[in-house]
Amino acid sequence: MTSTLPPPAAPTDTPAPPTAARRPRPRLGVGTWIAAALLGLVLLVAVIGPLIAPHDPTGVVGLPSRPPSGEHWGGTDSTGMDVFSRTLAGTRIDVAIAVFSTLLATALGIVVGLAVGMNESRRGPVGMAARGLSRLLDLLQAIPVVIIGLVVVSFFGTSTVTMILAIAVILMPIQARLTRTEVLRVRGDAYLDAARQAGQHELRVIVKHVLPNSVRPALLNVSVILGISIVLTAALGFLGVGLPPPTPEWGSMIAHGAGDAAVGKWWSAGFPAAALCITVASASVLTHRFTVNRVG
Amino acid sequence: MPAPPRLRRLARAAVAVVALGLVATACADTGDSASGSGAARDTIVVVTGDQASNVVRDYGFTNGTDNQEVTNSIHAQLIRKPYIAEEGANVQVQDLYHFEPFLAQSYDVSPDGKVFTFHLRQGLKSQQGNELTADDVVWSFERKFSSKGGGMPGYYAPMLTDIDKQVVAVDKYTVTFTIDQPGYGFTLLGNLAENIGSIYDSTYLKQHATADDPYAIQWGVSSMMNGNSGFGPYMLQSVTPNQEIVMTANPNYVFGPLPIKTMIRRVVPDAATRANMLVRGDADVALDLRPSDQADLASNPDVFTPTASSNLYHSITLNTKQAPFDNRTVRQALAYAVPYDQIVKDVYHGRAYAYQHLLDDKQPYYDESTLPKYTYDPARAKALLAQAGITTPVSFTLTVSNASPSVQDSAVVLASAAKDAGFDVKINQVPAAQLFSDGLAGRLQANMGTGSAVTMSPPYELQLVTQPGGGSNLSFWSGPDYDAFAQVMKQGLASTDAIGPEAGPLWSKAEGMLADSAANIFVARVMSPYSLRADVHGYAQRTDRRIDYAAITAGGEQNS
Repeated sequence: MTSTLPPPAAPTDTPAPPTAARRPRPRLGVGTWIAAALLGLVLLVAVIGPLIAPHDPTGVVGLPSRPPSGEHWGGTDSTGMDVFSRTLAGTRIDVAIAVFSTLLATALGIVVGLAVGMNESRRGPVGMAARGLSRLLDLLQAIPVVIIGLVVVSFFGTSTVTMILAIAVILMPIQARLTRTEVLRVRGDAYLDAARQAGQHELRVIVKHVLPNSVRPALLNVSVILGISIVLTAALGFLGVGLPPPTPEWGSMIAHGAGDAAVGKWWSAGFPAAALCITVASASVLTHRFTVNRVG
Repeated sequence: MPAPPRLRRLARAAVAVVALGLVATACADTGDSASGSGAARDTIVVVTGDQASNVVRDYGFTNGTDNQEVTNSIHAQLIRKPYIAEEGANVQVQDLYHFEPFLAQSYDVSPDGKVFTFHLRQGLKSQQGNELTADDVVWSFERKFSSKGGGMPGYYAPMLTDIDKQVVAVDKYTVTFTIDQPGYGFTLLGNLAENIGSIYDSTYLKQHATADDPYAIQWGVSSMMNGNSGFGPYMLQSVTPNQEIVMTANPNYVFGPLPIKTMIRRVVPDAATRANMLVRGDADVALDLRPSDQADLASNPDVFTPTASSNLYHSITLNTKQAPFDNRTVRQALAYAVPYDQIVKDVYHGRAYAYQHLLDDKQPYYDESTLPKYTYDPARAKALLAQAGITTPVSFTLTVSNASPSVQDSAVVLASAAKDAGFDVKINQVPAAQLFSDGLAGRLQANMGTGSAVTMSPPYELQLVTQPGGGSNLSFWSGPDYDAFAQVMKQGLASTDAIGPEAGPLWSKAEGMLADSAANIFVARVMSPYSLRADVHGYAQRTDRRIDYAAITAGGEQNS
């Protein structure tokens, strides 16, 4: 007869991981509700925008440079494409690039931040690699983000996927550094040593104990990253390295219409610019409400 | 804590002073341009999108309007094309088929059509005060052929290949050019009349030559202000990088004192701002305007926009070595998928005209009956594709320069219209230099852009886009059709006069073969992107579409 010993139980006196003290939930102001409604509208348009666009957003559907009218609510651009339809359709592209690049940047950032934070004080090649990676993150953050974007897009060409990759590469260091800082704070805590003494594998310790206690700043930062990502997508489009025409994308639409705006034909740049402002401002207000106020 | 009352009073006073200052500044006259005064002016302000950075043509061709206008203004040539009236135009144009003396007093041609003798004006001095001699002409051509950067051997091939033998100073004021075939003669004269035929002051440049730099090319490039080495109407007075270039009249100019003594060339990168400056009278000449801005300016009585024929073609080049355009039927189908009229009307706002071929239709003995009649006909395009057994949609990437808004817009219009004709067009925007290098390397399926021939000679124009290995041949057209075309070209070049009754029909025949191949689809001719204040007179549409500032006057009656 064989018997199996039960796995060693964790000592009962293992210190519990720290938890944030609960504070009374602050009341949400009108501005917050407006921002939330606008951002919700933007996300809704991102989903159904192309379906409700009154005209083909990539086709020439009217005379060029016509002001807003009943037929073309946002007027037409210099080629005769419908500005309102393109602004609606552009929401999906800009938001999709922003969301996916934010998710990718956050996921990569957390992994890199964990790896660096847990290993940079070690001796030997692993420690050296972690410290090298940490300096690389510093370097990436020191280079202007648009320059990194231009380089990545120049190497891999312009497509939705390369835009997502480019922006994720730009934003990843922010998330990685936030995570690393938290990892440095928690990695010496007693409950980690207790878990190790209980026989848990180092990877399990990291995933089960370090990750949950160090990921919160990066997750709170997601809304900031989302706003930056939308602006970056538009910035690359504005600089002419965004998605190729006639793809509706806010930045390239603004760049295309900027010359017309200077001679009074404001609409071809005005509508995408307004959409961009509303999206980024809403994200910014919500971020401020849920992060800065809470910290304070 | 609130500021003390005294501080508040001081702050208010400061704000008032700043506000008054701003108002006074806004109302002040800039003083450069005297537009609207009615009196003749001797200073004009030109607003340009870029700034000349290299006026040494033999160092290398530098794109950009300002480079070419400044270089043109510094230099002069042995002969030039006279200005003549054109039907339907509101300005004069250049006569492409005749030449008049410029630095030369006269020229004559030997009976066999192979020797061109130029008799120079005597006592004519350069910007540096040195007299023009035959040695200047010979040395100028030695310099042009000494450097590959300027591409001069290419421009002059096959007319001039051995400068030592072919360009000879007979005496102090006489120089001869000798060519192998009389058929090259017209193209040679055409080249000599353009900026690639500029004559330099060799006495001045030799003073700055070294063993390593025997033609003072590097010295010339080392500073823009070293560029005053010609016989042209204007010379550089000052260069402020990225701001302005001031040019002053050459006191030794061949045709005497110039009405415009000072030309201020101010850099204003945004086209709409340039248009606004012209409207406000802050500029006399605005370069490189957008067609839409020019269309808007048409109703402004204070602004004059030249309307005349142009040699700037807007075309699509198809790579005949890459699918799907390695199939002539697919190329021809695309030629029926181009919305020619829509591009002219909606993209160029009437500042272009439909023109579906390469050669000038006013050239002697021109016959357009050889040309296929391409129009926007999506049904015919689809029928051709079906006839060739091609599955639709036919997808391809059309590459355009990201520095050409009109071409970018045309690509969007084409992509939209070609859907109905069975084509799926993906647009790729790249920098102009990349488009050119990728095109020459054969990496592009198709590209759209604008271009023109330096010399409006039929054989030169036809060879420009077809010559194997040529710098403007991005279609790589070859095979039996090309061989037949080349044979016709050879017959034309062997004739005694390139614009005579024997050669003329041959050029038309060759052009018909080129159009039938559809390796190049010619969409339109684009008019000058310049507008002027209505009291600026004398503008003439040059072949190179640059302004001859020696012919300009300012002030007095307004153009209409």
